[in-house]
Amino acid sequence: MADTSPMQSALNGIAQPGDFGADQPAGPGVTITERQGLQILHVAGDIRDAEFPTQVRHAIGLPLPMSAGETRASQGTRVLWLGPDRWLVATEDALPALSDAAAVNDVGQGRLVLRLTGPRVRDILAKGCPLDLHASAFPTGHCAESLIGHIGVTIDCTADETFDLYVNRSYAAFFWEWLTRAAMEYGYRVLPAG
Amino acid sequence: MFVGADVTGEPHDILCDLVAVSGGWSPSVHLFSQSRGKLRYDDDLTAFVPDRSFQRERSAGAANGSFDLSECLSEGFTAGAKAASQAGFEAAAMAAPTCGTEPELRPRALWAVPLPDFLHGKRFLDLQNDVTADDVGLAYREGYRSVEHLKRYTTLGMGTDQGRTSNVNGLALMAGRRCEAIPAVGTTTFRQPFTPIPMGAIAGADSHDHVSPTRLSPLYQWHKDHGAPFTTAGYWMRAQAYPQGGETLEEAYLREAKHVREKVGIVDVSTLGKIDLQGKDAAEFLNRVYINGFAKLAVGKCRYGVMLRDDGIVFDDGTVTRIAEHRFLITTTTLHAGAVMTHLEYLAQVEWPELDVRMISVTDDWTGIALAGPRARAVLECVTEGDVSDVALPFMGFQETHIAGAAARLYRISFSGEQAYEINMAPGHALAVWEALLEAGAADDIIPYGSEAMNILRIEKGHVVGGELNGRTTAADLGFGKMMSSQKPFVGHVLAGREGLNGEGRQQLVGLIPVDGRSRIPRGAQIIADTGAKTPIPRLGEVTSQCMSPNLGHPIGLGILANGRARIGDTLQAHSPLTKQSVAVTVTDPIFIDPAGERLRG
Repeated sequence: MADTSPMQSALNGIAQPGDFGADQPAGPGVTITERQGLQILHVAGDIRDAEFPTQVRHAIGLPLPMSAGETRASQGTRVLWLGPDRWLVATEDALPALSDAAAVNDVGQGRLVLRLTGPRVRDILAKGCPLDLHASAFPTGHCAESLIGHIGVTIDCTADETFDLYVNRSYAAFFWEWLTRAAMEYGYRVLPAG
Repeated sequence: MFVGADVTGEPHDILCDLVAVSGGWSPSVHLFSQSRGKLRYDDDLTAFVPDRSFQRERSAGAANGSFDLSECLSEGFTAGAKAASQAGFEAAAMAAPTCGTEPELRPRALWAVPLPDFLHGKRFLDLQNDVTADDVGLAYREGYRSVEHLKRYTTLGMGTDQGRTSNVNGLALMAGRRCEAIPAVGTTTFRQPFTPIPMGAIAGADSHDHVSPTRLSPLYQWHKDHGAPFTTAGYWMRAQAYPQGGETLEEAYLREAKHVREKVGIVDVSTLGKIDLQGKDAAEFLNRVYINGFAKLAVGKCRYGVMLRDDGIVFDDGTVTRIAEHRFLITTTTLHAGAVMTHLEYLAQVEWPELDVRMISVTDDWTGIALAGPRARAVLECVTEGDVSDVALPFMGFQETHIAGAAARLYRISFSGEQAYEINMAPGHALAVWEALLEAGAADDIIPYGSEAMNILRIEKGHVVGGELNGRTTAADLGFGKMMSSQKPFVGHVLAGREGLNGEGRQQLVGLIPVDGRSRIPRGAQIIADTGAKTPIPRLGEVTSQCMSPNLGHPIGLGILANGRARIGDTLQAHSPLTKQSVAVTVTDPIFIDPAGERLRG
């Protein structure tokens, strides 16, 4: 039996599309989009296991990244290294079921995913993040779990000046307020969720 | 004899209104020192200057002991270019601007003016803390000869200037006493900040409601729209009650707590910590973590569990559900969710890396709604097509099903002591399920209830929470002694057997009822035998929880009391020195309602 109940976004009634903050002739400092409909899996397992890495690779079509902060990507799917035995898989595609060799949790419903893109995105995140977010230290294809505005956030630099942020859902309203306040001086645009 | 003693000449009087003290021309080495760089004493400058760096910083100009402007400029340009190139940027060679030279500084040290024999005046070193040259001598004679001891014995350099005007002089005097060179004596650590800054500059935008994060349940807006006041539990906001038509908060939660035992209610329990554990050794892992056994827990069953700290004291409690052969879901208390996760990760990664077990917090992935009351099953049957009969889903059973069209996990567990179910669903479905339950339950007179009523219901059942899990109580103190397995070791097992944690005099969980049947038991009261006794009055225990019980019609309380179980039936005093209230209480069993547990199995 499939879910027949409609899903409600964590930003329901909180995020409104439009342009906000300082008026920038060159366009907003950052554009924010809530990414909905992603399948997000937390995958854990022992890399020394004979089956685990192979089976996961077959299921998601990508090898697991092995070093800290590394990501792997294909059209529609991203795999983030979270720890020596754990990864985050975020995909727009339908994935086949992963085998018992992996400990899998579907964490898509418990996360708010925001895509931030724009010339001031690093400056905005730097206001609340202890990591060095300069392009030389945090390039495209790099990910990290860190704090932004007191909250644990998974940070994924998906392209030049573009970051995906994974925030635990119960913090969504608090984080939205932090983010929009931090972006105020550069001007920000909110696009409808997609 | 100390450096500079030869600078003096014949004494003569100078009339003055002001005395100043100088420690020489000292470079501002604070940032360098705070970055753990090592200092070097420069005899020519009679000052400490940066020597070896610890981090990748560099000092230039006056901070480096180069006071001449032309030196400052050239050092600054050189250091800047070097830093840029080492950081991976191209640094064009820039010529430093030129300027005239300044007369060379050649200070001569005079750390203190020697006191002639015929004078007994004070020679101040540290004008902020009135430390004199003689105080340094006293410190030396008393054996406080290291600079760190000198500082603390005399308070030299502990004023708001942090020794900027006095430290070098004091150190030099001590060096003279010790007949050592100044570098051998060293300096004290430079503390942050270099200069006073307003607290607001540190706080930045983190003020008001951004001092700490706020966590909201997916049902938060519903609670707010229905008039609930909120209380905090950790970072969480929890709805306290839903006052109706002019009710006070207390009237509302007393009504709710009574209604749940008589009919049925729902409460948002999303804040409970939830951890998913998977792996071939997950059962073995839990067996080692909890005091009771989990190896034989069947798939589809829940079990209450208690875990101890290493020192044998109770750490946390919750339920463990076997979702599949190698998959468990455990719950933690709201307040200990983070600490339990850290504890379990530590055990898995450090203590038992050989066990195949992976875990992740899924608190945000599952919203929790508890449905409780004698009519709970009747309501549940209206929103699910699954079989939730007592046979299909008995007390402590578990099902994966659909509730109001949403995929859900259904646990037959009870915090209230009533027939009860905990429904977990994706947060995006929570509001729809909550509203469907209220609609389907209308015929059974369902109500939403808040955290206050939930607390009353658990006190009536003698269930322990933060006040009882206070970091001092053992499993046996709280009545879980028989749960402690003797068939297996578990965390805290060895130290729980210590003499001091066992035997006579331990404070045990008891119930308390006011003798007059109506006085509220003072919050946080001490339990004593006789208020008129000669002080100090022996303290027998304390009140850990108290409330008015709408279902019993009189106030009740829980407490921990020395030899409490042997005192059941005794009359004692609950005394609050804070409010100067004393209430005579009868000691009872901690379970006030349905001790046999018939209601929750119904």
